[in-house]
Amino acid sequence: MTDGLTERARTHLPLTDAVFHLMLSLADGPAHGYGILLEVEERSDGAVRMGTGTLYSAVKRLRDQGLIEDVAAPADPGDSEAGGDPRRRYYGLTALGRAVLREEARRLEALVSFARRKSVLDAGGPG
Amino acid sequence: MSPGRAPVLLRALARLLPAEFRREFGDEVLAVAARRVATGRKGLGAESLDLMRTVIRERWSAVRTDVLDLTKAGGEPMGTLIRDVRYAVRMLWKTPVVSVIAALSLALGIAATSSMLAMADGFLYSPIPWDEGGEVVNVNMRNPARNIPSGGGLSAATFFELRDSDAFAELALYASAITNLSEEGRDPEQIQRVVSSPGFLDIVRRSPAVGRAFTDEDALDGAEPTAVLMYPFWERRYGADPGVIGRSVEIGGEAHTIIGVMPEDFELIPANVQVLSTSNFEDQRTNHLRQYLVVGRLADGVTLERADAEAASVQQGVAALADAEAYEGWEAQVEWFRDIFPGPTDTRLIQVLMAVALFGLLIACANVANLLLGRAEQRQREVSVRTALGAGRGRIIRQLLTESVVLAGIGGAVGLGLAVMLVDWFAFSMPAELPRALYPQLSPRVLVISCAVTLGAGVLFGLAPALHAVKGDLRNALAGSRGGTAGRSRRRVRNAFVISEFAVALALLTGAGILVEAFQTIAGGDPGFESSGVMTFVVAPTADRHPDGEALQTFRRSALEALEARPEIGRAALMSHLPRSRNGSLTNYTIDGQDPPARATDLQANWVAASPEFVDALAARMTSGRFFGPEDGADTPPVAVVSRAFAERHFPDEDPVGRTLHLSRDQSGAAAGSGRRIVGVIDDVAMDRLEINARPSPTVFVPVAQTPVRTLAFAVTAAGSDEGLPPAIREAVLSVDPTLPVGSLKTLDTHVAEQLAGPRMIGVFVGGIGAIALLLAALGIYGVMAHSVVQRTREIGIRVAMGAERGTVIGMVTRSGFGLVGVGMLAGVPLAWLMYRATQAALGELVGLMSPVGPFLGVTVVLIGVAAVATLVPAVRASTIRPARVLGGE
Repeated sequence: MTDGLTERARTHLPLTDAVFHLMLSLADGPAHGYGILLEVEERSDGAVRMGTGTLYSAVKRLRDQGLIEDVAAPADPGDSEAGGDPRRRYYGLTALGRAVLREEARRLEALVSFARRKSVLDAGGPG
Repeated sequence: MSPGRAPVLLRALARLLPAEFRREFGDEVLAVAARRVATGRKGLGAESLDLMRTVIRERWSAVRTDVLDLTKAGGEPMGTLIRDVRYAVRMLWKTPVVSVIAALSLALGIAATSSMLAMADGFLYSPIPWDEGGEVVNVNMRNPARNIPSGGGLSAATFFELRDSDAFAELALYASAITNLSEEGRDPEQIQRVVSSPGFLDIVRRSPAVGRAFTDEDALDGAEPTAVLMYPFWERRYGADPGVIGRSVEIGGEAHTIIGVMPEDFELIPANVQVLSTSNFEDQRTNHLRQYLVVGRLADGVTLERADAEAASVQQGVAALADAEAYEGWEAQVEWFRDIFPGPTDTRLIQVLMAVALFGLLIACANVANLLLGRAEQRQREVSVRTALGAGRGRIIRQLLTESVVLAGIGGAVGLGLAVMLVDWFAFSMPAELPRALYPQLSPRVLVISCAVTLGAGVLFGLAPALHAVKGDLRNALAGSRGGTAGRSRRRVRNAFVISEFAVALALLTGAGILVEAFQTIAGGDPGFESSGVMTFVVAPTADRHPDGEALQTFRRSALEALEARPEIGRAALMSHLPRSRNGSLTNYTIDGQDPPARATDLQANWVAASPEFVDALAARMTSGRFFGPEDGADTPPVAVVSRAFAERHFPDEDPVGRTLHLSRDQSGAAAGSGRRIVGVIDDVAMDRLEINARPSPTVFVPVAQTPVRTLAFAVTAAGSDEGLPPAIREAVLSVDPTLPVGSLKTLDTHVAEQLAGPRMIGVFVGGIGAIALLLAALGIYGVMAHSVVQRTREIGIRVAMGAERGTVIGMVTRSGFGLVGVGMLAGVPLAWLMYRATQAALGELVGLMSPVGPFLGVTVVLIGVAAVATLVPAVRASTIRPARVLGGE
């Protein structure tokens, strides 16, 4: 099924690693800048290390493209470190952003399954 | 954590972010980064590096957005462009004074730049037509001990040895000399002739357009002499008649058959040659005089270095066989012809002039940007209204840029018109020896570059005002209020322009000052002679009619007698060459009673043979002793007169009269044995074309009666009016020798003006650009100060109301003006230093060390004076502000 949104989402593909991680960390709900960085680092076990400037460059670009938007701070703050702070700005995915994330994940999945069919992943590796 | 507590490095970097990004994310970036650094999640270095990358990324992206906006603005590009241009012209028309000043500044800057480009194109980047491949070499001599890096002539003896070496595929020697051409039924004419060895025209890969070239047989001893005419001479003397081929003419008293005419575009160096002939120079095989020019092409696979080494070793072999003195200190070398013309001095000089012109253009651009910035402020309301009506940012930038490009276009058109005149003037000032191929020219590529420079200037000075115009705050502008961040930032930009204008002006004027001073020095102050009312000409008696020294002396006496017998003529003097001549003679010498120099060639002076009338005819001055008289003849004791510079060099504390000199030029006769007794000291006469040592060179005069010379220069004064002089001179000379043409008949004033035209041109050009730069810088600071007074009217009004004295107000305004000038001057010092070094490098061989202190201080004083006037006028106006009116008005 390809609706108009998916069609539009595909024009944004592929995403860079940093942008994909950024958007992924917003998949569960809005977060502020520091929270995004924390999640990216933890999720990737420190493998992805994003500079603060780079993050906000990406935030600005994604917002200009309508993939994320400023949202109100969540009423119920989460863990203490990423704690809700009314003075901070929170960013959330738009419908288009969510579609882009989904399409990018599908694209990557397709790539991986091609690789799997070629038995690329069976040959040793770090287990 | 608040951004205020972020590390200072991060805060500094964040300030570099584009305004839009900084407003939106600046604080957040700082807060997050500071927190990550504080919690140890990220190093300060890594964060700083990342922030720096972000600055570059965001800045670049902002520029890209603006450019995209520009290209997208407007639906139909052509229609919009025409509308924009029309609107631009209307807007420029609305403020005619600003527009005219701006266009004129640009016109001057572009005229200077274009004409310098034309000069560089002609001189530096156009090869001589017959050396387009750059493969022709020149063999010449250098003398490191005497600081002559290149250009000394080769001896025929060396040439013959070198021609047999396998380093060269082809090699030819040539020499150029003044001689006479005569034939039946026509006036004789003095010509410049090049005699070359066979193969010369093959080396330059040219053959006659009419008739045939020389063959080896033509060069044989005893062969019938032949001549090939240069095209302009053929055109002028024979009306381009092909029938001259086969005609017999007398050249230098010898019958020659004309066999060909060279093509129109063929030029030699020197270029003022009329006739070519050929000789195998076999009788010169043992001649060691270093007097020939040698050109050639290298054999296949031979490098310049190998040929150079070969030439040096061959030369040493020749020197070992010959009288060692003939070559003392001289070494043969091989150079690419293209490296000699233009030489390094010419190249550097043109580069410095180019820099001067570009600096001038830069100042013009800064000034125009400043003018437009001032106007943009006045138009803030208009821009705001248009924005409010929905015009996009890009649209407005584009409109304002169109205005500046239209302005630049007008300036560029006027500038190119001026450049055409300047280039004509440059070409007029070129010496006759220079081939036309090297003349300045507004070639297509010069025009293309000039147009690009014009367009670039338009965008350059248009961008700052345009970008600032759209940054203004809409509500403030509409409400009629001033100030705010946009106003402050505009003021900063204008101040920056004034500062850089003064910095560049200081550098430019220092460079200009040094160049002007240098050329004034080498063009000389007091030349030591009077040039007005003196007519000069040159004759070259030929060997067939005046075979030996005795015959030449007879000719000299009769010529002077015939001239002075004419009622039109007052005094007639004769000399080996005129003052301010390119082709002077030199002599080595020793002085009895003084230690001889380490080498015979170490002591060198100008050498002039002159008749007794020299002092009277040229109004030269004796400082002691006497000049020559009729008593100094071939049979009386040899005498000499030395110049004041000579006397000061060797006799600082005594009168040289009575001392004895030995000259290397006196190779035979009485003077060779006994030397010459000094009978007088003459005040320095500028015999050199340019005084490259910053004062007249030491000169030795000898009586022409004691030294026959073959090329005679005459200086003649009129008895009454000087109108009848030229025919009287011709008739007098023809009465002595009916075959002898009178050459270079002109007034001494004209001769001097011709010789000094080049340096004068550079002086006027550089001085002119300097004066324009000064004017522009003054206008710049005046504009800024006047504007700031208008801006501060209210504040000043309040101060006056509170009891500020008139002096206090003037002081306040002046201080802020001088603040700018001071910063500009400080910033200009290193620039001026660079300019001085560049100028010095360019003039190195010309004048050696010139101190920058004089020009620098002079320029500083002038700049401060100009700044004072430009600041005081608005300051005085500020002091007359009446508080009641100002405060009541708002």
